[in-house]
Amino acid sequence: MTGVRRLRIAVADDEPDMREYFGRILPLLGHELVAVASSGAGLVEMCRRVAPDAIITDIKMPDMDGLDAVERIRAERPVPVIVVTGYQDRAHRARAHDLDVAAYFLKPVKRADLEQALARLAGR
Amino acid sequence: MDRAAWPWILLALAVACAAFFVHPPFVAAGACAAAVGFAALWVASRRAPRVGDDTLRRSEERYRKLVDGILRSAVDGILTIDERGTIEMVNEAALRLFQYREDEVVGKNVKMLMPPPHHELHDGYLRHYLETGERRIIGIGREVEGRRKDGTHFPLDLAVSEVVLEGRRVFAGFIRDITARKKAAEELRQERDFAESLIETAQAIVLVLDPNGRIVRFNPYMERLSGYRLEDVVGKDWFATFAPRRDAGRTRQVFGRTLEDREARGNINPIVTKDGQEREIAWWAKTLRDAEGRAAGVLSVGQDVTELRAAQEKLLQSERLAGIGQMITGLAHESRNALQRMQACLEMLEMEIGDRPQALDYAKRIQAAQEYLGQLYEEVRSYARPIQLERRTCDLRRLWGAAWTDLALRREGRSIELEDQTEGLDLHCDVDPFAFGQVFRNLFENAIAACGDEGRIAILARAAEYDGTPAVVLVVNDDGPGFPPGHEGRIFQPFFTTKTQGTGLGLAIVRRIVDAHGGRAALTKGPLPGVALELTVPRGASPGQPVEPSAKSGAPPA
Repeated sequence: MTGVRRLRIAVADDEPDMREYFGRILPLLGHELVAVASSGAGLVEMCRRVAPDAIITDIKMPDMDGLDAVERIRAERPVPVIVVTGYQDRAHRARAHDLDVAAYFLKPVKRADLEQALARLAGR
Repeated sequence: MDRAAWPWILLALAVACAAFFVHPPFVAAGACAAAVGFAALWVASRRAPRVGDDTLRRSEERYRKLVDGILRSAVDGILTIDERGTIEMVNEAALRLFQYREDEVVGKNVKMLMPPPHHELHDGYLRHYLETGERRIIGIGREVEGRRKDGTHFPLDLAVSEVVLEGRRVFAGFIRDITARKKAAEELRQERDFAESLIETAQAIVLVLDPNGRIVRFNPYMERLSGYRLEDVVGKDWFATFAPRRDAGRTRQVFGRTLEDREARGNINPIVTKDGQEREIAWWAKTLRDAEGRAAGVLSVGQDVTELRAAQEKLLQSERLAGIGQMITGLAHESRNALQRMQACLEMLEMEIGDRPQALDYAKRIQAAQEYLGQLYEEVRSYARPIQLERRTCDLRRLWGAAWTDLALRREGRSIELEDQTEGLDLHCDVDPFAFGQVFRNLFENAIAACGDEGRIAILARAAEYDGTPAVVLVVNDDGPGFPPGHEGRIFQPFFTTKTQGTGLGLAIVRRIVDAHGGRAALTKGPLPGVALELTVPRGASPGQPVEPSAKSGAPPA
């Protein structure tokens, strides 16, 4: 992690286990967790307040899915996005592709996957 | 004339009429009997007055009237002519048939009742007979045409008898209108022709077996289908000849039930053709009965449903797969979420127990099991999901190149070489790059697993035609030990595996994807001693400008 920029990261997942996981793992990877949301709408709201350097989001969440949330956030300011989802169908992949996401991870994602993807972002 | 002669005359005439009615074998006999009757009648009528006995004369007169009445009222037409063909006597039935009045025909030449050519030739026939005595119709009878007064023709049976009286010959003609019979016969013939051509042209088996199950006849369709000619198997036991051995007893029982009048409707029983193939036949059968109502055999009509059944089976299979696919797709999200939570908690657990090696070892084993579960799940999903192809013109070389790179981790620490022996061949095909990437990954995974620490995997290719379209045939061949003998037929079956690790879905998925592209996956022989799998890939619409898959074609992260 040395020499890699420390990223301020917002995460969104409706699973409490995952929110806790991001809370523990991101500091270990040298990044800062600045916002934790459990829904798409929550993510949009928090991003307005904290203006993170990167977003890690699930797709399927209550009220607004992760990709819709990203669309709204991007309408206000550009921000790189890592998708971590259970969806592997072409339609969701295509939507993510159109949003030019930095990475599309199929669950289960591992620490090493996140580390690599975040390192790429931090190196930009 | 003796009184006692009259009953004999009547008897002879009655025999003549009866014989004529029975027709046709007795025409000649009838004509002879009639001749005898007429002769006697004639003699009686000429000689009776000379007897000079009043009582006798009255009696004879009565008999004469009776005979006259019988002749006149006979159902069949009767007429007599002399040696020149002049009509002397004609009965009412004959007048009705020809639509004349008596005075219009008596004294006229009988040829007036005949259409050409007999109309012109009849005088000649008579002369010929009188000169030579050669009989062409007398006592023989034949089917000819009559000509009515209005010029129309009708078919009739004619029997002619000859009587010689005092040096003079008289000919009697017995005439029966056979219009109705001819019509019925014609209708019967048409029916028979129709039935025959139905049997000949039917695109179905038409089969007749005798009550013992021996072949009586079958139609040309059956000859084409089975490869046997009827003459080669007629009289043979159907079940021994055509039923598969395992089935012969059962189908014979079905046949027995059909004989007992229980109709078969659509029972499917296969037959074995001459070249040993089995065809699935749906049978409809019915008992044939003779005039006494005894079972004379069984008529069966069979429809070849082999292709239909295969298509139905395939449809069922794909419906079942689609159902499973939907179910698994439905499960996908939640299952992946659960796996993710396990993964997250495992990683957090490892942080907690970092100082306890034994506990860490258990955590690693849970991790391995979790990964295997994820892989198993993914393979089942990818086998069962409905295949939706997005075809693009791709260079197969690039696709397998990418797959080979993806598997770098599997080859780590081993020296396994991929030998591309396809140089110079155009390998552009219209395929789904993602699906075909999986095909190559699966083939390479197997090949890599088969190789030892040092190994070779060869790819060979040639241009070919498949189903009448241009195709590429690829062979992926490793130098491992090959499949254990006896397993060759099962390698494409789902969940069949020769490895201790793996789901046994790899080659099933390969086959499914290649099939979906209209191609074929099969085991073959290659230059290296190990497994050689052959993929036939149709080139598709246009092997024109290659369009490479974009970097983000949806492949999951390595």
